[in-house]
Amino acid sequence: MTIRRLLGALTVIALVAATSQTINGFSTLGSTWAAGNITMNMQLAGGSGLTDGSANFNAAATSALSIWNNVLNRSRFAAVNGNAGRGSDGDLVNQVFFDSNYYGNSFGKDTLAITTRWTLGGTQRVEADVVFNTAFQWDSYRGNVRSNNTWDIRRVALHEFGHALGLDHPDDHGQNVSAIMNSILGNLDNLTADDIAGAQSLYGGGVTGNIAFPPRNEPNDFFNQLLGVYQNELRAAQSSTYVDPEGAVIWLTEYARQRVGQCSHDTATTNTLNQITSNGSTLVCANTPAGAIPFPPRNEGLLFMNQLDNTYRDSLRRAQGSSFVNNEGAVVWVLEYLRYRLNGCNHGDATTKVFQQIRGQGIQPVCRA
Amino acid sequence: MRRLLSLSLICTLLMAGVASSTTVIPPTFETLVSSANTIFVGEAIDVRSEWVATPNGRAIITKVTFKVEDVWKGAAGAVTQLEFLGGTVGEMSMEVVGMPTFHEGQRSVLFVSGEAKSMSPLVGFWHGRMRVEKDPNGVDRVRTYDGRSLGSPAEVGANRPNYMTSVTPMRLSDLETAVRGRVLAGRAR
Repeated sequence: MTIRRLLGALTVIALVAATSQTINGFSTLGSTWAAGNITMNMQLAGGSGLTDGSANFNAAATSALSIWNNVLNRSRFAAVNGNAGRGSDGDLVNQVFFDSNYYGNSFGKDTLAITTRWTLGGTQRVEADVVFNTAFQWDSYRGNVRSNNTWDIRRVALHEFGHALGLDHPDDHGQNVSAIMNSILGNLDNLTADDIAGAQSLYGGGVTGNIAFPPRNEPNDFFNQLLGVYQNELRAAQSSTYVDPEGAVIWLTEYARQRVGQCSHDTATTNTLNQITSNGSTLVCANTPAGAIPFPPRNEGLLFMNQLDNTYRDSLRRAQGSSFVNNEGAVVWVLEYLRYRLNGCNHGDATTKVFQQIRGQGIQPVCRA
Repeated sequence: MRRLLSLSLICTLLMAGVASSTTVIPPTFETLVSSANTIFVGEAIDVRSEWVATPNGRAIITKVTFKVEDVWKGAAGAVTQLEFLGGTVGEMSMEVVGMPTFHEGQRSVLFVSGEAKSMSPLVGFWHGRMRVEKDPNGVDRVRTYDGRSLGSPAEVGANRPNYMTSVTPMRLSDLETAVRGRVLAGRAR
């Protein structure tokens, strides 16, 4: 076999390997709602005796809103029962209803439902109307799509409300994933991990977290003692910083709480800095699994600390100050203090163990196995 | 009879493992051709959006003007305009998710339905638009509305090719032959 043939064969193998991969990833429409409630006026008429027991079509579609709400944080749907019947377009009111046409335009014979999105400046969602085509028979049921031309309003609503949130069809953008947001809907009748990831990329998800962090005064006390150690024992020079000691402790602790709550560095940083600048949510990404509590690596903590410094300087317009504990020292030792605390040590023991490390006595054992 | 055919189509789709599209039931190639009043190849030469009053408020529409290169079914003038719901005027945008959008210079095969005042003038909403691109040898090739390589008419609609599948797009001339053949077959019935 010549070199050329060998390279050709290797290329084919590489191409086959590449084309057999499954790409994961949702797709978004590039616009989101402002934080807060997304009010949806439910104006679907009728729907008695639905298969899944929903009281009527409004209830079935509202349950689809609730399913999305379970994974949303920054913005959530708020269903309001309105008068059944046609809504109005271009009025900045979100309406969900049946009709035989879309505001005077025919659906086209094979169109089940339509969602429009109105945006201001290209990125700010301001209206979404969802219209279901009365040319089709509707029910609300789970499982495989029925072969009798009766369509499941809840799964169609799940898809349309996904558009209302700002999600696009992943399969129209080169993705190969299982998702209710795919352009061709099959027997899937609920959200998938990809749908949830897409919604949370736009509006954040979250839980309150299952790991208790120490009360604010204790890390503050630790940091004050740390300042003394740096100044008096290490004879550290003062370093410039825009973050005051209390701010450093509070926000490093919050960043750590987000990381322990399964958030990535980027998400944890965003969530934490949003709390500083715009009263962002304090929810974390997920409960921490049983076992060792994960802590972020030092470099990521330092990245956060540098961004915190910039936020204090640029957003909070704080004056430059100085501290005996430089940013790196703050990150390393506050996170280390918290690591001891979350692993069974009380305030005094955790403080002592950190200072033993600073004094060269090595990493100390945590207080529970 | 027409109702029966419609049910038959849906059952066929279901049995093929394609339950539905959330918004649109994907057409087959045969449906695409038979449902179209006009099928033409054209280049978008002008795209402009404007506000319109509707019976229940207001909306934005986009008028796309095409320079028609070839007509495969029905009749179309040398310059033909189609009207799509949605568009951008100033800071305000109205988008119907899935509505085809066009840029000047883009060439397409358009399967235009006969429905008056439809949100999308195309058969199957977006399925009735196929993109035309020249390959490195200057041969016109056909892609689906979302840019997938269309290997054959059988891949229209629900059977569209996987994005990851490397297929040489069919020639525009081959699609023309298939369309004209289907049009003739439809007349013969």
